[in-house]
Amino acid sequence: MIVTIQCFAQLARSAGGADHELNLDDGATAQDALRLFAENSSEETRALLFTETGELQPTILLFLDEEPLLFSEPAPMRERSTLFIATPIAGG
Amino acid sequence: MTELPITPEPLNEEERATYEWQSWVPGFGEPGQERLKGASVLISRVGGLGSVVAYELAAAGVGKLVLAHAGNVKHSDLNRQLLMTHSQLGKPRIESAERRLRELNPHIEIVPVAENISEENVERLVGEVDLVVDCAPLFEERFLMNREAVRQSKPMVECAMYDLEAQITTIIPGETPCLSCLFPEAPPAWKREFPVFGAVSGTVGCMAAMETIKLIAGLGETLASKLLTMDLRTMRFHSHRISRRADCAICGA
Ligand SMILES: [Zn+2]
Repeated sequence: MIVTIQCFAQLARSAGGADHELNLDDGATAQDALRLFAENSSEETRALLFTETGELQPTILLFLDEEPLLFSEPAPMRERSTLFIATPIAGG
Repeated sequence: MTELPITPEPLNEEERATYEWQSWVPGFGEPGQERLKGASVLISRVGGLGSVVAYELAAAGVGKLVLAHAGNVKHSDLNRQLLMTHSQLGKPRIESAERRLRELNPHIEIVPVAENISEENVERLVGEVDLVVDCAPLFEERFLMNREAVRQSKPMVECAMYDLEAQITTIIPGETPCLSCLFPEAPPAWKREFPVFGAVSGTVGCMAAMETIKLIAGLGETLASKLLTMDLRTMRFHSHRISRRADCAICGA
């Protein structure tokens, strides 16, 4: 199935753009999508997403089709789902 | 929406004339204007975002604005900090901000504070107002205002931008997630200097001013428990649902 990863702010800049399409196996979760996206990304982008020990950075916000998502709770993705990943911003 | 404990202030004839066109907004009217007149708001800082928030709230007739911002006006402020002017280069930013606001509306009370938010002043400054608009460029200042707003049970409009993107939510202590529910610790990658057009900070600044007016007047629906994100490069807007963290160090039970 085709899903979209949509990156916000510093993550989008690091990943070379906001939108990234992924082709996932049926039954894949949002967590699988995020890990696959990170694997295909630069070291800098991976460091924005995951700590050195492989845990999600605690300041990353995840939304699956605009609903909040906890990385600890696997959520199945559907065809054309959008996983929105936000790195925190504080520009005033 | 829970009504904020604000004492409405009666309007005089000049104020009725000044705010006439907004008093035609259904659900607002003269009672809404009297609530704005009786309200007080802390805005920190009054840079790209806060300048526009303060300008809109002054124009709308919010009775008292407490503004916190340190430092002197620099050339690099002028692309977005719309209360700073060329003639004020090298002079205190807060004086420039106060002057511009007084030119626009001499009838409201402006409390200029030539300091940024710190551990020393945050309790007092939040204590002076009915609600807070967080426009600080550093997470340390944002977390201080969040902690104090939660402690004093005062709503806080939380807005921020980066590049052509921005986000905004309205924090109501005890009801909605607070800033620490969203970000339990300071993000490692954030820097004080960031890419910005004034039109981006101005866009979200106007939204923050509108959220503030709605909170004070009890008008419409706010962004309580919703995070509005926008990308002005693509003109995509999303309203994401957000929830409280039971283990939040600031607002958790
Ligand atoms: Zn919280």
